[in-house]
Amino acid sequence: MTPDVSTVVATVDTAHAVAVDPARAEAALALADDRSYLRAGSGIRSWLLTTDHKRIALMFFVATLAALVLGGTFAMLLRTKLLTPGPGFVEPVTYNRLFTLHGVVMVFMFMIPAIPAVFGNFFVPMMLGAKDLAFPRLNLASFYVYVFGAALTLWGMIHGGADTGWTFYAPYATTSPTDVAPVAIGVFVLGVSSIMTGLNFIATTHMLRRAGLRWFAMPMFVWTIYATSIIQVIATPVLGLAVILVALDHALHMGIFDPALGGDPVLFEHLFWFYSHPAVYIMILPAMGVISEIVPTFAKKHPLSYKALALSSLGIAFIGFLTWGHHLFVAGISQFDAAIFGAMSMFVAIFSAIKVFSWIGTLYRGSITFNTPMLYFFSFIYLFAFGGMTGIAVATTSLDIHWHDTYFVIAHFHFIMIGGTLTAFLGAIHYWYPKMFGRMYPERWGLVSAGLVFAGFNLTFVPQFLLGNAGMPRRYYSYPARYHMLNVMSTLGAYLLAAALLITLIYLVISLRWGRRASPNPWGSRSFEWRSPSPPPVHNFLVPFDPAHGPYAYDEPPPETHGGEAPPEAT
Amino acid sequence: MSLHPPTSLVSDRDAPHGSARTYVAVWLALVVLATVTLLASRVVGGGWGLVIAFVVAAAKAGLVVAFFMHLASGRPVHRLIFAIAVAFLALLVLGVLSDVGTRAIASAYVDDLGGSP
Amino acid sequence: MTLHEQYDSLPRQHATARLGMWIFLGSESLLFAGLFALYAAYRFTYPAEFHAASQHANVVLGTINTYLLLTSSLTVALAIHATQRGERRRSVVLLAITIGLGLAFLALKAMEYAEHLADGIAPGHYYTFDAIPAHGAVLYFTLYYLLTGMHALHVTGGLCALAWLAWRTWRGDFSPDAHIALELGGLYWHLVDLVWIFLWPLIYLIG
Repeated sequence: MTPDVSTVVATVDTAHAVAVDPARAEAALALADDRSYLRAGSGIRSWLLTTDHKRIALMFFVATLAALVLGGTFAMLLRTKLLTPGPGFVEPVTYNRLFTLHGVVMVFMFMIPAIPAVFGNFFVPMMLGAKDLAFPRLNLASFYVYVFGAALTLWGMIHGGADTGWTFYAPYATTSPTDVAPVAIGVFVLGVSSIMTGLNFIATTHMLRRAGLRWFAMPMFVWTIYATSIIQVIATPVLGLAVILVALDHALHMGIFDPALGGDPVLFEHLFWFYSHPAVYIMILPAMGVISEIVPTFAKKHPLSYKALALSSLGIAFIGFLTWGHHLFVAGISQFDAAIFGAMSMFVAIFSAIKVFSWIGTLYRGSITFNTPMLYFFSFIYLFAFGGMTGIAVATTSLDIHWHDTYFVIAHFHFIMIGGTLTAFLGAIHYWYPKMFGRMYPERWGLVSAGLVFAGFNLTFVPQFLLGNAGMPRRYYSYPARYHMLNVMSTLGAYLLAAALLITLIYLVISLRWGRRASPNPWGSRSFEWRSPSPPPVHNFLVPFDPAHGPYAYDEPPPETHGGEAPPEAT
Repeated sequence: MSLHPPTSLVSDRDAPHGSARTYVAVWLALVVLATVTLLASRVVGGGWGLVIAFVVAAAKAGLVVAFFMHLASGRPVHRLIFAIAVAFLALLVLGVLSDVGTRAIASAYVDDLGGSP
Repeated sequence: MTLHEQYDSLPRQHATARLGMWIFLGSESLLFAGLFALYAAYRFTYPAEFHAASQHANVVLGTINTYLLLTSSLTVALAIHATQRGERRRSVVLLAITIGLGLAFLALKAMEYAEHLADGIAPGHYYTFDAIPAHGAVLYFTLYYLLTGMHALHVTGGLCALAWLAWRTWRGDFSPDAHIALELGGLYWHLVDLVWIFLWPLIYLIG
């Protein structure tokens, strides 16, 4: 007689663990594999032609990680050159190409797509109780469009690549002797992929919530993906236009920004930053969503205020559109305009603060587990708050005149991008690793490398605040001798950071095959995606979950996960 | 499986339809308004001409959107999307104009003699 | 029409497709927004040059094109209406008329471009029209090519979609209860009309 598997697995999960026959538990866990999305359908075609959002998520995972490694390699080359103030092992033009491609690859091939296309794709349908996204084929198409855009950009890179900076400012970008057009068009295509992703998530959130799941009962991660998606569909077309104009101008001399014909280069900056400022909220909002999932789970407590967290996501998305001019403070815009944008830029901090205080408040009187995802949360909260405060600093017009185009700005946005987004991305990988792969990562390695990432990051970028404040310009090949010490520190930090990330990658890959098998809900989370086997079956759930037991109901016992064999007919 | 909100609420206002007579009436209005724009541009020039042209264009757009695209009779979320798109389009145009339009009176750079570029 | 597994009913699936199309149209309008912003900025900066340059716009062709597009919106709406009443042949004919009007639009556009280029009115650094000095005025013409070119690309895409939809209608793919693809095609075509409604006065009717 077959063991009552669901009871076995449910017992393994609950906080009130009862002694369980390990062999039966193992057998129960192994059973779940046969139905999993990883095993259903084999062969390369079943992956390349899949419409399963989970498989598409994994393909994006591989692609965005490759982008991270590539962009990181560029960064390491830059930092290595900057070990010495004078001429180094790369030519100045090559150096310019390196920082351009570092920016393009990191922003458009990693930061923008990573959390939405990997974790959004994997978990939004599950968090809504849906079998897939609204438009699965569009989802697959968005992956191939991403690959095509990446290929174009890399092809441009191989042909020498642009040396304009990832910001493609006219008039240099339109007259540069380097190959600007392929890189610019590659960015355009990557933008199309981003719009497709955003459109899919918006439609899914509106139309595919399971019965009884109201807007204010969804997991918080969905809210942030939703807000991100709104930014994606509205802002990205403007970037698309801006880079196409640069490509046309460079290749065909359209001269729309050429002062000789009466054009105004600052107008390019308006178009570019109308997207690129909201873009930073595309990068941070999903990261905040990850944090909003990790914190309640490991504090075993509902969020301090659900509505505050949910609505502040929309608030950030909205206000983020009103602030782009702060990138143009010294570009030659009118003082009136600079004043308006300076004032508006202050407001976005309010919504970020609401989130930070909500997370801290969630910890209060919680029952806190100190593990790798939580270590990434603590890292996030410190680095994001610190980085955010320096954002307020540079948003102050009079101060930005001193700091603009210095390492101060670089340090500020790396604090948010690495300290915020990458940290949350790493936290997400560890948090959701058991669910996605049915394996556990090694906890001690996780803690150690999280600590090393934090240390390496600080050593890299705190000196850059000091460098920028002391006047060292960004994107410069060489620097005065007095900046030498801080540059050496920053480079050493970069090597430490790179090593820590490499260690992380290694143990994560090893754990795919040799990690301890995971139960459906190793964290005891109340969120919906955990009410399913690890890894999930193709259609996400064996039994539809009951949304009446909310995703943050920590005052209730953990819900049934139905992680083993499906109980007899329960529709 | 069932989804939220219930399908009856989703499909009530869906499958939009209008009558052929409505469509033709809207088309006639559009043709008339286009002709008005043309004649007005011959008579009124400069700033006011632009305002009139824009207002009439907005009216024509409103007719197309409301009746041909069924925004008036469709689901509220469609109207929300339309409003948001219009709002951000306006934001971009006005944001750019708030710079270009005020440079003469409030430029960031003032030279030693008190002049601006 | 197949019901995809993540949906519980065909009406919901169609409603989702409709929502997706509205999101897409909202997104596409932001693509044109950037060009409108450039137009606004440059027109504000060079009012006299824009006025002088626009004298060379072909108001006749531009106006005929306006009437063509407005009518094409009517015919595509009537085509969907016919499908909703099960009138397959009438629907195909109306779609064909819509496509014909769109092709006529493109043909007139091509004539306009040819006329301008013959005069040396070309975008950016290719501008060689001596009668109007380049500085400032060439921006009007470059924007003219960018705006109408971007619009023409969308018209072309729309015509391809309409042709495919006309073929599917003729094949009998659509029924009064299930013709979502046709609806979506119609919505897209109306956007193309909407953009032109604003382009026309901005380019051709500067006082």
